[in-house]
Amino acid sequence: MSFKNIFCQDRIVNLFQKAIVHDHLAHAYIFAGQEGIGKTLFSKELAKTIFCQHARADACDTCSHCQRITNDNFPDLFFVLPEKNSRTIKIEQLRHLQDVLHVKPLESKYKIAIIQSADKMNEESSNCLLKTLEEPPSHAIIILIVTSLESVRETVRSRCQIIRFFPLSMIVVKDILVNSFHLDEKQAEQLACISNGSIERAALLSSTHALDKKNWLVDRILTLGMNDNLTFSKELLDKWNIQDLEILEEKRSQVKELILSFLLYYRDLLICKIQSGMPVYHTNWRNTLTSKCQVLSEEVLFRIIQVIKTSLEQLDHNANIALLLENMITKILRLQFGDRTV
Amino acid sequence: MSYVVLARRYRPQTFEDLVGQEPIVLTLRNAIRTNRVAHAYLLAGPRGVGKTSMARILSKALNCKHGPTDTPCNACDICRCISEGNDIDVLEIDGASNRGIDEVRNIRQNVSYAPSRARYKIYIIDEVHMLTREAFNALLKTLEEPPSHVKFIFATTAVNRLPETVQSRCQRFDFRNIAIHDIEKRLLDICRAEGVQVETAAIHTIARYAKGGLRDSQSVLDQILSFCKDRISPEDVNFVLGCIDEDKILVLFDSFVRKDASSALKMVNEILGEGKTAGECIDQLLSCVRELLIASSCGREANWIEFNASLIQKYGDSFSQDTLMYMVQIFSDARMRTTDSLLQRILLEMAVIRICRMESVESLYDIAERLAALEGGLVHSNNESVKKNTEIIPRQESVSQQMVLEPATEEYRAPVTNKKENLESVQGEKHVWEKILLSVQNKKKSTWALLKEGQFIGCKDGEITVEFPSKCFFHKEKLDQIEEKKLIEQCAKEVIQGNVRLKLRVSKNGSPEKRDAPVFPDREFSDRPAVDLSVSEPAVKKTLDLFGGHVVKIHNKGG
Repeated sequence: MSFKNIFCQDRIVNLFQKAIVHDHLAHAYIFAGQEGIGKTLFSKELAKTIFCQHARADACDTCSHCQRITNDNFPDLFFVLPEKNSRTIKIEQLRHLQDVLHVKPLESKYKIAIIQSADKMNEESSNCLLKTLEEPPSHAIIILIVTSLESVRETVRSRCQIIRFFPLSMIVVKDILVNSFHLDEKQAEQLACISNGSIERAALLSSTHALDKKNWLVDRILTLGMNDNLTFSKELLDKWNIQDLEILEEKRSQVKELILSFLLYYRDLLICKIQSGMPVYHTNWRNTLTSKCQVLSEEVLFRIIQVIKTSLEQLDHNANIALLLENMITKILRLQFGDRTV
Repeated sequence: MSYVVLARRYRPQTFEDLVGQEPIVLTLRNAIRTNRVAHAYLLAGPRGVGKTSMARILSKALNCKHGPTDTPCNACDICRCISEGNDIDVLEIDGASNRGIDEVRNIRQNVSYAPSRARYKIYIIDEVHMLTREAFNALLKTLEEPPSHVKFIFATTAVNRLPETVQSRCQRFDFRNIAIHDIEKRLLDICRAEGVQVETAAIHTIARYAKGGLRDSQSVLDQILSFCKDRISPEDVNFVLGCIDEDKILVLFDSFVRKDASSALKMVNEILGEGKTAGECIDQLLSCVRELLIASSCGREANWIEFNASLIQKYGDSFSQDTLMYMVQIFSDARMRTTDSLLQRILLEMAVIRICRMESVESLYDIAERLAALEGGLVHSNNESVKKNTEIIPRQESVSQQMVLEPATEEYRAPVTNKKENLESVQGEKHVWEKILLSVQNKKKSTWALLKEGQFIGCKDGEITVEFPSKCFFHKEKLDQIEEKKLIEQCAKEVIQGNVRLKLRVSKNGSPEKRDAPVFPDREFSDRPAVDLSVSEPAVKKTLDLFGGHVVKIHNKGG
């Protein structure tokens, strides 16, 4: 692998190649962009290019340095990521990182530290990193990988060069799904569509049979009646196996996916209603949706989406999952069937 | 030797170099000149304005071989060591990594030893706000009366998190954000020193983006320099900053004006496809709306804000202030702290559609004004031979249902007196009921709130019957409790004089008449069809719908 395996990030590749050739590498970078678009992959390739024994602008992938980086056992490349079952990167991990960085590199000119999910650094740990980020030893390069810049503190941001990654285009996602995950064309296309340009998400969705579930969900929503709210939410909990999951975090992420499917559906209805010709996520149902949206007013759709948004927020605030779902579905159905008192 | 970023290479080394902190520089230089240097300084302020640099310069000024001087030489051994951050007597401590009490005890132990080669032993504790409470307290005594050869310099971005006991022992200097033109000047100096050509427009954009942090701007400039070697154009800057190109913003606003949701959505799609996040997009739109808002409320001459000239020129008059406020509200609703890009995207789309769909918003004041005019018109249209009522209803009454209730009781009295005989009894009872309600309201608001849902049926032999619609079953249950009942009966006694019993019941026919329908006027003026006519008039109906009120009273003028 080398830079040519990085898709859709030509400008960034270009930037770093120039920087490497001109020996213009800064000591701290933030790689920002949504999850699953190749930031970590890119940082690894970058490390290879910097460490590679032969080429200068791109990694050769054959020398021992490159090989060992591919296999994750190169001594001058250091990864930090949140410990298992922990939401944050702890200050001890970063103290350790500081110690490691102060030791001279063993085999090359540089020492690279890659902090994954750096937006999960809590206050103590990000403050702890500040001085190191500002003036690290001259051989150190620190790369912070984050999904959203908002959760990075101003004090950290001001010390780093921020690189914004592009979302992958649908075609690229589809190709990757077909080639690397061996999915059939049609499925890959649909997954690419709902994954919003993120391979990670697409892979997750394909492993959980999300497409089948989504199709089932849409079929079911279309046939729902006013008083189906409780039975429907029960069905949903069963279908998604939510009660069987042991860990709360997993449950929550499942429910989040579920609620997002709702959001996608109603968003598509609204898009159909407006007749803007924008792409919809449920391509197969386009006609059904168009006829369905005649019954609902835009106002109602807006309010439904508002309800879904509120539910998503409450999900993050430790709300009871079953109650949350029931409540959301009840509200949606009542709105749909013209009750304005919700 | 590997590359060193601009922010480090161009770190100020003398007091003159420090940009934008003149008052602090002046104070410190005078202190050094007159030999009034305190033993503890606290440097506070936002990121990237020169706190750490100031701390180093100050320690150089104090420890320089040719000093203490306000112009450190930067040539002697000590000065150079301090600049590199490895002097033996100037200890720069990372307060966020060494935040425990043990580290502070360590300092305390070493404080008593004299400096090894320089005049003072200087402890610079950066990010001092991260020290633990115990660590701060352990420091207090030393901080108050350190040996004469020791100086402390604290630097922090969050001074409010320092205990007051620490703050009171230090001289505090608050650094301010650096003005845009100061940043521009500094960046231009750097560009000149680096030998690169940069358009002034690009420099201006960077300076604006930095929001007062010089280091932010230097990081950006550095990135741009390493990206495009020779010339720098505004497009490159936009790419690096993740800003949306101005013409795209203008297109978006154009669709807002034309209420063209589909073209706006396409634009959003395009913007997001370029790798901009929805959050940034909303932020930028918000700041555009803010500019429009300021331009419309302070006039375009307001020179304390940097206007986006073309935006103001094109759309300065397209939106009313209240519309802009509404836009701000929509956008901030759509802003959600989430890392989920799909969700963010959909929220942004929704916001855009809503803005394209909104009617121009009028201020509540205007609506109230129009309502008043409407009321006036109503009076004229209603030429009846009944009483002329000269009193004018204050405008707010029609707006709020709740406020209507009080004057209502008085107002009903007037027509009652010249009613026909057969109406009088019903009317009287009604009036009595209103009075009872009023007195309940004064005694206990919660009871009143429950009671007013009920409908007064009649009063016979000291028994007041109140009927509740079936959906208000709960209200009835609640009022049936003894103390509530007692309270109401007491109130009724005051009005009617004599023994009163309260009877509550739930209406049997399931759905009682619509609550919204104006019950009183219908009955009261049933002998005058003209009233019904004016109630059913579209303008009145719309007003009622809009505010969910009911007609309390109709003035009849003329005749």
